[in-house]
Amino acid sequence: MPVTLTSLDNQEFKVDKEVAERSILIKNMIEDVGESDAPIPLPNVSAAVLTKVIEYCEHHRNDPVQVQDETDDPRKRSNDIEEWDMKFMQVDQEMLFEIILAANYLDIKPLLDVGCKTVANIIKGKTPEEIRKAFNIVNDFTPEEEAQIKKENEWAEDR
Amino acid sequence: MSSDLIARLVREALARELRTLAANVEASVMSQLQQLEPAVDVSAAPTSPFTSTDFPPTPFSCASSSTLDWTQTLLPAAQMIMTPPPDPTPSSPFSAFPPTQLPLPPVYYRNSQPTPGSRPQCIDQRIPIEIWHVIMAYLYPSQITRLSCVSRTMHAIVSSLNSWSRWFFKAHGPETRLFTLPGMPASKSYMLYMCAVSSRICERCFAHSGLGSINPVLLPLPVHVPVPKIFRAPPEPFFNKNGDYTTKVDYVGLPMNKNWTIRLCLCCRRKHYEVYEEHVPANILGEYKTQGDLLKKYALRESDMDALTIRGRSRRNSNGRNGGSGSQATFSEQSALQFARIKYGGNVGIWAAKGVITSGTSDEKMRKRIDAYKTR
Repeated sequence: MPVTLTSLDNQEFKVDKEVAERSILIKNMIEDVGESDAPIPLPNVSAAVLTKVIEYCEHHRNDPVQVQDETDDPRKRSNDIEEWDMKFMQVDQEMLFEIILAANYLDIKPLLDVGCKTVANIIKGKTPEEIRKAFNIVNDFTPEEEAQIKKENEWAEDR
Repeated sequence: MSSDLIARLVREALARELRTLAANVEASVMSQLQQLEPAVDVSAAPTSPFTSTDFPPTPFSCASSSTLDWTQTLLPAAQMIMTPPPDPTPSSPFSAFPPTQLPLPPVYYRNSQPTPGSRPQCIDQRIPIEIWHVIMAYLYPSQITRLSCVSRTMHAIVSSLNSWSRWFFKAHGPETRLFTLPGMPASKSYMLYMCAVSSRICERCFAHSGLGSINPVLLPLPVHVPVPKIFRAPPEPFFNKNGDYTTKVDYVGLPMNKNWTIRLCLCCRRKHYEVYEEHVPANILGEYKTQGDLLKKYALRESDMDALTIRGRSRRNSNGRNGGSGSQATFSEQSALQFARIKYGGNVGIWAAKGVITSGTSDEKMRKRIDAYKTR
């Protein structure tokens, strides 16, 4: 049975229940409400982002539920991104962060993980200045503060 | 006047009804009251010391409001559950998100108040702190500390990571106690201390390689870390924020800094190079050299030569201490390189074994940093 989702800009999306239930938020809503034709409003997600999120959920509709080993070092898994997911995440930074925020709001853990891995991989190997440039972050330290932090916080900077 | 009387009667009726809780009386009185309600309000006002606005709610209004509640519960439950939360500023796409509880910048810097309104749209502030923590779980400490140099918000988020104390106890044992600095969060103290001793800590297993002079091979040495090609290469067509498919490069993945390394101990280096093998330079492929040359070039020992591919004479004869005389046996340089890489943990380990890398300068720096930490 299809479910109707309404985005922030009042665009309606008809998706299979199975696909929509990749989102734990929507799954819980449907469970709480029971059978209903009423569209589900998602006031935090724009149509462009919801399109992407649905694309992801469609592709991963049959994925088994991931049981993550808590003792596992996530840093070792940071490169394990499926080919399809990597291509899916090739978006500009605005879209990337909106997908992450939407995945967080909709409670789609695998999508949130893929998004976070992507951001981590972008950060990897970049200097603070390069990170600022990549994410349009303004340096709001005073020069003294910056020097102090650089002195104290660097991890074995002499290579 | 008559309305006054009716009102009084009604009130008495209601009081009685409440006392006796007679259901049939209730029904009749309720219907009566609903018709008479306006008259009651008007008549009651002059005799009451209250103004009409703060007049205490009469049982009638209670009754009417309870009927309102009932009509609300008649609405589909879905409508109530899914009602969007009030959106204070609909112009911003993120205003509808729960406000992120970002900590203020660390207290120990003076002038640390963020200048209001200067950068409300920056990514570091828009992304909730929990998500940043998930992102940082995929990063090595050297990269996390770089992230902390980006902005005040990032610095506060990095300082709040629980990982710092976890890593501290991994490195120094669970019994160790760190003198945490007054006036700052404990996580920040652990961060400062771990950064101070970072040149002796493996970034993967967090083993501490001990103070004082040790075999440089055992030190955590810088190792290049590959990232998936996609984060280095120029992008293929992608979706932009308007949902259009485009090839216009506005992609976040700027070229990666090729000199990025993390420090790994010997054990972790070996594991790392099992997965990411270093390539063998073309000029040594098929080359054979004498024992003396290889011992010097790859910091090997005579006993190691057993493992190498030999050419010319049998291994037994070549392995003698006086094997240098006469026709010398030669060994495959490739096998020597590969053996030394495993023994010392990659090329960087071979350099350390040859004495190119020492812990001198970094140790000096580390001592100063530990002193600076203790005297803060």
